[in-house]
Amino acid sequence: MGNTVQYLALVQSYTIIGISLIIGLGAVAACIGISLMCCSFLNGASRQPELIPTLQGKVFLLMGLIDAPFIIGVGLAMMFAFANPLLAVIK
Amino acid sequence: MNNVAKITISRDFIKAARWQIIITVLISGVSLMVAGMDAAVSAIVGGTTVIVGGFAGMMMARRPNGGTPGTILFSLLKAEVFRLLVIAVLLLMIFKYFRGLVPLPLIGGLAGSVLAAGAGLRTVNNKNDE
Repeated sequence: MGNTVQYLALVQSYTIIGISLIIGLGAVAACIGISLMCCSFLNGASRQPELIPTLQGKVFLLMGLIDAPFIIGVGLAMMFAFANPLLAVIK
Repeated sequence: MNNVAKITISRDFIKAARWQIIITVLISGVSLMVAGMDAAVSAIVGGTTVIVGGFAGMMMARRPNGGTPGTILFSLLKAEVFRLLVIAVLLLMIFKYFRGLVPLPLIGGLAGSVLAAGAGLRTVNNKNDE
């Protein structure tokens, strides 16, 4: 009984560290990608203002694409938080 | 914001959403064959989360803004934040209240749907530039 509780606590603590890394590193990567793209958008919009409507649609789509790994990471993190498959081993 | 930008954003979203729905249904079909009905519903729920989030973001991005590059960028960033919030809240509710949840198909549907959002870029080099 004592060992089981100890193992549970160990798995949960490592899971929390993993979740933090998944969300944190994903957010950092998405921020870098979006900032680079926004920089390019401002550059292009200031050079050719008539292209702004076209660029706007592209920026909207690319933001979704840049955020894709982050959203997948959030989904995985929630899976580990609410339905952790690693805990099934300890019974 | 002029009408051209609104039409461009809507057209890109519709094109992307079409591919997202196709990919989600495909993943759901595979899940149905491999793991049963609950897995199929989980995959559909995962894909729908992203589509609903994208729709919310599109509605936010279509709202009027100043028309200068700075204000347009700010409104697009607001739309992205709103989209992420909607997806996160929906995922939270699904994991909290959906009893027959099968996690792996849900993540599969989510990932497939998110990655299929790039399919909207297929419209970029033809109709948008006319």
